[in-house]
Amino acid sequence: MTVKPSADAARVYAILALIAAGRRVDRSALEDVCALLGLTADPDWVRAMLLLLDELGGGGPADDSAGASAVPLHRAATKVPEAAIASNGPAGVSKADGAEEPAESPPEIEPAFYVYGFVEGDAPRLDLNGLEGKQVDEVRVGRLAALGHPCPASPYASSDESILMGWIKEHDRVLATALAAYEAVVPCRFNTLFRPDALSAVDAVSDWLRLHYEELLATVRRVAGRREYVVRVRWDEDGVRARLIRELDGELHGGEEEELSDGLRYLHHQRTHRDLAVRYQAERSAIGHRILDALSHTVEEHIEEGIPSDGDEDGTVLRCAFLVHRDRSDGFVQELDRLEAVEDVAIEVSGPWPAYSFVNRQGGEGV
Amino acid sequence: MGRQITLDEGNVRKGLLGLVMALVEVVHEALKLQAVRRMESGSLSPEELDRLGRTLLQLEDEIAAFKREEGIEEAVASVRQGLDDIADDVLDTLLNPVRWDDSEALR
Repeated sequence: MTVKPSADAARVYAILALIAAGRRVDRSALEDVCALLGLTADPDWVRAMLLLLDELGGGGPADDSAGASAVPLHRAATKVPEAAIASNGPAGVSKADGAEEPAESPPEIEPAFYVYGFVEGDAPRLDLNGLEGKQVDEVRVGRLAALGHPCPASPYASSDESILMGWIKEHDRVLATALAAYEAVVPCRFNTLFRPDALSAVDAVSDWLRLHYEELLATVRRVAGRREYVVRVRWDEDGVRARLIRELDGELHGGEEEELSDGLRYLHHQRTHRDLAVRYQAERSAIGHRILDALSHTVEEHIEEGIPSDGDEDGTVLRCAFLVHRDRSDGFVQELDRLEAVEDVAIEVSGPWPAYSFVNRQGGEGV
Repeated sequence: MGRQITLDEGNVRKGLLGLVMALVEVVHEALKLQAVRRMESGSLSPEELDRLGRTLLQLEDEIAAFKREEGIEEAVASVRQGLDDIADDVLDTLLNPVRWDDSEALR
């Protein structure tokens, strides 16, 4: 944030005056600061701010709407889970994250069809039950099949999180079995249903498969024999920061600090910390790149998740999903072990999963 | 409408103070950055720099004391975290249009 002269100056001074008034900071010292930084004061603003301070000092509420807005500022930044609903021609594919999804479909004359994923193959290879014990069937068109079964018209929703987690695990289990049987599975996320208006649900699925045959086949082949691993890399954030401060102090000040007066020492300290932020980011970025480079030999694709600019509380430096061919899985995991030692980091990996994160990019899914 | 909304005057005051002090802190940080730049540009004498530094330091102590006395340390931190989150969201969307699909529930 740069403080621009004149436009922001009045506001800056006014806000500082808030602190000075009634506090023990000398007003003239603040005027001095502003002069040294090339800012000028605006008497009207100062007066307004002092009045406001009196209000606050008196203990009476100023404007109640302003008070209410102070806290929601933080809540507004909370991420809202996505519940995407899309319609694709005659077959409506609807998806929810299972939280609260009102069923807007008509009463169950036409049941819907729950889809776990899509596979390529000549003949069915699965014999297992899925959610609520229902047999997992196939709807075939050509070489492709949708794995699933008829289901009620509304998605699986529950306010009880343990029930929800149970269903999600069931969904994952079906896909894991399918992955072992078919080697190529385009997974759907939990609660992907075909909820058609007019056709029977199974016909709707067939029609959709016919409509998207080429792209779905391409997607299935793209992920054939490949699995997803989710990796999180963490370092000792405090240790890294301490080291960087030592390095910076050495570079910037040499050793002159003992002789500095209070004000100068404070400014030098501020400079070190300003440079620390930049350098920390640079180091974090560098280690992220080194790790991705090292893994590039065993990995086919990756998707990186953004990390907050000042880091998260656990010292995370990298969070990624990787698409790894089955034959290179061992090499991948070994490389992670090696990196953990060499780069002095902690690496958490989960998987192998069906390629959840890598199938949505090319319209194989109509979501 | 027609519901009674009870206002806790203490909380309203704290909320407003928290918001104001968060702004003051942000401004103070901007001033610090500006002062460091001035120091690096060499346009001020050591004596002027020392005055600058000492006043900013005093301000910093006063802000901390004020927050402590009014019991708004957490409120201020919360507002500032909210501002940071919003900024991060905006940057993230600008830099990374293909967003990670949050499937933490499945992991």
